[in-house]
Amino acid sequence: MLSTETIDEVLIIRVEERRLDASKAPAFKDDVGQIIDEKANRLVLDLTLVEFIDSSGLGVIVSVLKRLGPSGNLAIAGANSTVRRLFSLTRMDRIFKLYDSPQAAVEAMQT
Amino acid sequence: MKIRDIILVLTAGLGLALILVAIVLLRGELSKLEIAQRLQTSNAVREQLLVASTALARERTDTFIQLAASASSENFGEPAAALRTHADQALARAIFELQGGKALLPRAAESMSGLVSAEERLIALRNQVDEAARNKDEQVRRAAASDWLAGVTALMDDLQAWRLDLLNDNRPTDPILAAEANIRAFVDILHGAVAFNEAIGVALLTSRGEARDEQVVTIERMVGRMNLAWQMIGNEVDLSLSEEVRAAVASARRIYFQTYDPVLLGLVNAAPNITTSTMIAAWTRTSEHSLDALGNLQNTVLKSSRERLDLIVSQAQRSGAIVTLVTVFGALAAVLILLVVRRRVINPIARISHAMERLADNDLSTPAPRAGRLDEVGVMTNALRTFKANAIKRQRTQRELAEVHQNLQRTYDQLRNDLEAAATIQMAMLPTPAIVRGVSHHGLYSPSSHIAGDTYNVVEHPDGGVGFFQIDVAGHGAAAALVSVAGQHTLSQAMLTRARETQIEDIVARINREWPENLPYFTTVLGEIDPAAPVGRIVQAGHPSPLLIRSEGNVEQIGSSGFPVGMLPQACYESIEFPFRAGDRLLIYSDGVVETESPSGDFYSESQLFDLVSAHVASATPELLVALQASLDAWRGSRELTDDVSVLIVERTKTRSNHAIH
Repeated sequence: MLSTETIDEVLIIRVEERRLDASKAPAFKDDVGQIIDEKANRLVLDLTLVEFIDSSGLGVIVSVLKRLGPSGNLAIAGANSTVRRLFSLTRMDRIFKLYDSPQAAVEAMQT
Repeated sequence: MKIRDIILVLTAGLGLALILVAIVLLRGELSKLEIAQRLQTSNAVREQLLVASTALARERTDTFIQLAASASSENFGEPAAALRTHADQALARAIFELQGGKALLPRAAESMSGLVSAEERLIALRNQVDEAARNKDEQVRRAAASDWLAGVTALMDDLQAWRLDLLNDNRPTDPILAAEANIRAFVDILHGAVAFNEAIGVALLTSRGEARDEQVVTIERMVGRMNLAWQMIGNEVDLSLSEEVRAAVASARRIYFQTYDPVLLGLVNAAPNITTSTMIAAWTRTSEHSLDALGNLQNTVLKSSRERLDLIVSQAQRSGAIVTLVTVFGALAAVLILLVVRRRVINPIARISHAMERLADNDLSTPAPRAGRLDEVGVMTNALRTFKANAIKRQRTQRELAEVHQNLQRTYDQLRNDLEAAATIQMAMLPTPAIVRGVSHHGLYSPSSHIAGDTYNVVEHPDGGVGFFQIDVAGHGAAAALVSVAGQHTLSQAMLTRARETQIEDIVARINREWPENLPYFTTVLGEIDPAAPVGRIVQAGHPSPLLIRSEGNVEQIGSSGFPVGMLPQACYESIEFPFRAGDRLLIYSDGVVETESPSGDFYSESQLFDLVSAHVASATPELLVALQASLDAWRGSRELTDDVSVLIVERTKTRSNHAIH
C-alpha cells in the first residue's frame, strides 16, 4: 500500500493505491502512523498514483498532519485534478502545500 | 438375487448333481450285480445239467455195452443201479437249482417242465431196457440197445439244448467269462461226442456186416465234430485266461490227441471179426480216461468262472457300498458347508448389509454388528463400526455447526432489524416536502446501505426566517449515520434557537469548535432564506457548491470552498449572500451525486449535473428530482451505490412572493 524513500532527510511516502477511500483509510492511517513514529517529521505524501480520494481519505490525511504536531511539515505531491479539486473545495490547499512532484516538494522544503 | 439365495441354489444344485451321479453309479453297480447273480444261478443250473449229462452218458454207454456186448444178462443191473442213482440225483439237483433261480432266469419254468418230462422219459427207457435184458434173444437185445442209445442220446441232446439256451439267455459281457462259457460249451460237445463214440465203438466191435459200415460213418462224423470243437477251444484260449484253465485245456487236449485219437483210429481201421473182450475193455478204458480228462477240464473252467463271478459280485457290492458311502458323506458335507457358510458368512453379511442400509438412511441408533473376527467379515464389521462412529461424530459436528449458523443468523437478523428500524427512524427525521412560510422544499435521498451519513432538514425560525442545511458525514454506514443524526440535531437546534443577531457563519464556527475530536467530521451547506428581503445566505463547509436556479432560467454555482466541520477547530467560516426571489430555487447536493460511478468507473461529474439541471429549469421541482434520479440511475446502471446520495431543493414560491410584493 505504501513505499518510502528518503531524499535529503525528507521522507517521501508513496501511496500505491488508485483509490484512497473508506475501505483503505484505516489501514493507511495505521501504516503512516507507524512511519511517522519511527522516522523524521519532514514528510512528503506522494499521491501520483492516486486517482480518487473520498471524505474518509481526506480525514486520515488531516489526521496525519495532526499527528505530526506543530513542528511537523507535511507536503502533498503529485495530486491530480480530482484530488486537487477536493483539497480546494475543503480549503485543505490552505493547510497543506501542494507540489507537482515529490522532487519539487523536497526542493521547496530545503529552502 | 441375494447372496444367501445364490449359495443355496448352488449348494442345492451341487447336492442334486451328487445324488444324480450316485444314482447312475448305483444303478450301474446294481445291474452289474444282478447280471452277475443271474450268471451265478445260470452257471449253477448249467453245472448240474452238465453233471446230469455226464452221468447219463455213463449210464447210456454202460447200459448199451451190457445189453449189446455181453451175451448173458445175469449180472445186468449191478453196476447200472449206482449209475442210475447218480444220474437221478444230478437231474434232481438241476431241478432244485432251477427252482431257486426261477426269479432270475427268464425261461426257468419252461426248462423245469422239460426236465421233469426228461425224468419220466428216462424211467420209461430204463424200463424197456430192463425188460429186454431178461430176453434171451440176442437180436432183440441188440435192437433194444440201439433204441436205448438213440433214446438217451435224444434226452442228452435236449439237456444240451437247454444248457445252450441258458447260456444264450445270459451271455456274460466279461471277456474272460465269455471265453470260459464258450470253452465249456465246446468241452460239453466234446464230452457228448466221446461218450457217444464209446457206445458206438463197442457196437462197432461187436457188430458185423452192413451195420458196421454205418457205425464207422457215425464215428467219423463225430471225429469231425470233435476236431472242430478242439479248434474252437483253441480259438478261445489266450493269455487272459487263468493259468489253471490253460493247463487243464492243454492236459485234456494232450490226453485226447495222444491216447484217445490214435485208439479211435485203430478201432475204425481194425479188421472185422477179430473182436476180443480185451479190445472192448481197452476201448472203454481209453474213452473213460478221456471223459475224465474232459470232466476235469469242465470242472476247472467252471470253478474258474464261479470264482470270477464271485469276484465280480463282491466287487459290485463293494463299489455299491463305496458309492452309497460317498453319496452319504457328500450329502453330509454339502449340508455341513451350507450350515457353516450360513453361520460364518451369510448371516453376518445379512446383518452388516441391514446395518449399512439403516446407516445409509441416517439411522445412527441402529446397532453395528459385533466385532472380534479376523477374517474379511471382521474387517467389514470393523469398517462399519468405524463408519458409524465417524457418522455420529459428523452428525454432532453438523449439529454444532447448525447451531452456530443459527446463532449467526439470529444475530444477523437482529442487526438487520435494528438497521431497518434505524433507517425508518432516519427517514422519519427527514422533512416531508412542504411549503414553509413561502418556501417549499423537496428532497432526494438514497443511502448506499440501510442507513446513511447524509441528511438534511428545513426549519422555521420563530422570527419568520426559514433555515435549511444538508450534512454529509465522512464515511458511511452505522457510525456515519449516528453522527449524521447528531449533526442534524445539533444544527437544527442551533438554527431554531439562535438569537436574531447571530450570523449563520457564527453558528457553523461554534459547532466546528465544539465538535468532539474523536467523531468523524462532516461537510455541510447551511443556509437561510431572509423573510423580509429577496435574498438568501449560505455557509459552505467543505460541501459541493450548491446550484442557484433562477426563475428566468439561469443556473449558477454559489460559493467555491470552505472548511469541513469537525476537522480543524480554529477554522473560520463566512457566509455568502445571494439574491433569492420568487421562483428561484437552490439545489444543494452531497458529493455522492457527482461521484456516482458508471459501470466503467467514470464519475457522473459536476458538469453533467449542471447540464441536466439547465435542461430542466422549466420543470417543477418534483419533476426535476425525478429526472435527476433517472439520470443517476441510468448512469450507474447495474453498479451499486458506493456513497450516499442526497439532494435538497428549496424554492421561494411565486404566490407568496407576489403577495409580498403587492
